[in-house]
Amino acid sequence: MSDRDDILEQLSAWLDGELSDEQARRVEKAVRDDPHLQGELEALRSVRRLVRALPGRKAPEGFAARVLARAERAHLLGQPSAMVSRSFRWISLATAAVVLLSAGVVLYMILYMVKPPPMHEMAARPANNKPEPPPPAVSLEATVRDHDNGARSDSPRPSRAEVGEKTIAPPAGRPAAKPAAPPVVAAPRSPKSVGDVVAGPPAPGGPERMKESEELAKAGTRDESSRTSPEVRRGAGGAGAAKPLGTGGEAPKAPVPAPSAPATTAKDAAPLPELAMKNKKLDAEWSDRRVFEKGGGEIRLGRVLLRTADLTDGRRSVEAVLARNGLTAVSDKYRTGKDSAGANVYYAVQDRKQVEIVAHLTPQQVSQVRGELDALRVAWARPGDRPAEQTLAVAGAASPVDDQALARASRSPATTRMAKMMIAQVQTAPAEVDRPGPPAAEAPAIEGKASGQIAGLTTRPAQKGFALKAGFPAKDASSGGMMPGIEPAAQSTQVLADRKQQIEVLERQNGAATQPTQPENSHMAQADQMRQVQQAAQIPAPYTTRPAVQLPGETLQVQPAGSTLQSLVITVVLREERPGSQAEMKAATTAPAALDARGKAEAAQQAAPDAAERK
Amino acid sequence: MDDAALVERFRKGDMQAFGLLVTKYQDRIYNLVMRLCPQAADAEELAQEAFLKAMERIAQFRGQSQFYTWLFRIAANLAISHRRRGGRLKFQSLTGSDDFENTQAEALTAALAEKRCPSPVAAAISSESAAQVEQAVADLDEEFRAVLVLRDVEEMDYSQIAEVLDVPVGTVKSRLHRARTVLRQNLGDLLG
Repeated sequence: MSDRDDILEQLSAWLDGELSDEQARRVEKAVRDDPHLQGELEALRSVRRLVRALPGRKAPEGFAARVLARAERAHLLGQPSAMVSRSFRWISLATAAVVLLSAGVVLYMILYMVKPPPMHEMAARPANNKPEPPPPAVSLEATVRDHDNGARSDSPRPSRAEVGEKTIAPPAGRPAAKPAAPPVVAAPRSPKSVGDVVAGPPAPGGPERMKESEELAKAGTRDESSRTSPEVRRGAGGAGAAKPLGTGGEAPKAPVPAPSAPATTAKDAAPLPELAMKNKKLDAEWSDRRVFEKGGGEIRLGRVLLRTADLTDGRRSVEAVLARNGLTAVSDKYRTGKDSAGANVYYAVQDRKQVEIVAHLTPQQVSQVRGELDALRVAWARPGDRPAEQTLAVAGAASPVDDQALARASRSPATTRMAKMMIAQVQTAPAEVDRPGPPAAEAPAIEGKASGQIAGLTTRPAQKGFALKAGFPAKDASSGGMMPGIEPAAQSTQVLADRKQQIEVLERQNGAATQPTQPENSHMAQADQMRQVQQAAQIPAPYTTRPAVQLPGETLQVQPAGSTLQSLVITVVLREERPGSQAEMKAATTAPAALDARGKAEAAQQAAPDAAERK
Repeated sequence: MDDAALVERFRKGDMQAFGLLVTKYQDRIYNLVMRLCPQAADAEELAQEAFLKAMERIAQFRGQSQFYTWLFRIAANLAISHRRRGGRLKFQSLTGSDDFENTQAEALTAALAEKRCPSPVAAAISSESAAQVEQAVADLDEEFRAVLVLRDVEEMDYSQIAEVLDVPVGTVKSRLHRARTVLRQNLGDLLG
């Protein structure tokens, strides 16, 4: 490069005052002596003047407000911005493919390179020995998080090609902002159809897994049914996560006693598929998603459909739930607030038919709010809206069903287990099953128990007469309006496992509270049976409840409240629905009777050839 | 209140401080993004995104550089990546014939209101010449345009530009010279 070319290169910098004194003197001398350079300099100066004269663009009207609105929401939800998600989408997909491939290789090695134990050793295992838990799969949440961390990790000055793709990376030498999150055990995706119910997690690399991975990579979310136990939802929440209940390899812990007094002996597995379809439909009313936050926390999204005969009444009840939990529902606008630590920010917005709760809460608070809302849902449910466990329990109690049929009709092993408990509860206590619930007006104490979880809320009159079979205590008046029975998910790992035993103990303790009354007729008995099962179903709702009464020798360990706040977004949709016609109510109420009748008819048909043979 | 104080407040969860930062820099960020990615709809989205990303990553901001440099870096990278990802969006003239008068009025206002617009040359530029300049700037390669905009529109010094674009200062110097030379060639008529 000639001296003149070199000077030409320096002209712009000289114009901008970016040269050192020595360089500047050299350029000035050259320009003084060279008319061509003077022309060049003047041209560059003109160019600079033209560019500087370009009009500045002002941000559009309301720009700041829109940014702040997005920021608030993102801040509350912990969502990465949309474009960030898009940036990582392909990376996530690619990583998911690598993970799946690796899992496939591992599976191959396990299947073909590890010899199974001899059969006699397997037979020698105790019957109640839990199978080994499935090998942990690397969840995509971790993958996404790893990517995220990787993207945010510090790196030396990138190559030119990286400049556009990466955003801000702190200069080299700075410590990494966050260590890569450890891989976590993936929670099983709850089955979406009857045939989807499997004992173990989906096979790595299978199409289901691939689909799930793609969905996750797209949305950065994990879809889980709300009916999945809280432990399952929490299972993938991070290190030390509880082992998901009902996951593959975990046999139902509480052994269900053989039905001692089956109501019928007919083949009553037939209605189960229909019920399962119904359950699937019901599932749609409780949508629940979990989104992982970058920082390792999690966001829970939910949509609750509550049926109410009166919107105002329904909204008031929802507001009562919110108010008890420190949330405030306001009309048509967000409201912010802070807790005593200055950290919690909660928002709620509602219109006539919808209440949206956006909140930063502790896990306990999250469970509390959701548990109460679920209690509302159960309380307002019409007879035909039985949750899955209830539906299955009613069917199972009316007739013996084998485990396979029950599993097919369930949405998840947890549902199967819970239904079995209910069935066992009903079948092993025929005397109690046959007694009807006392009328509402005559049993205020029992009513208090039954509606204890929803005390202070508006309940449908039809619910007030329900007896609480399991005898769970009513809401403690000294609890300040909180519901002591509802337990955060993390606190209830053993509750589900020991559910049956607890129920039995509580039944003994509270036996006096439910005085048996002779049934007037079989229809009443069956209706009462269904009611009791409905009430019992409130206990193991997805937001597990725990009796306030401490059981003797109870080993429940209450975990300390998590220091990490969770984001909770629940949209409560109030659907105004007048109570159904009497015929509809009656039809739903007498469903067990119908099942029973059908079973008897089938039994009679089956017995006929046997009788002929004997003759 | 200076940026450092606002950033510190924002770090502690004060969203109002973040709002002040947004208000303070919204025009400059929008202007930058608009120059780098001259589609209005995209520009607003990208500018919003820049603030949101800044919010997300505020914990990573160590204060070793100016906040606005850091913010500009986010915005510039977003705009550049968006333009690359979007398959080089078709350029649309920034100054359609209809809104040039508004543009000119804005330029005058900006020139009179802001010191960083040193002379109200914009008032003297005809609509045709302004459109030519805008077009010429937009026609530059991304790397040249980014340097030019950061220098002549945002008036950053070379070291700041280097930090924003994450390139050496020497690269900034050569790219800027190259950008102006190309502009000079393309605006030969205007320059006489």
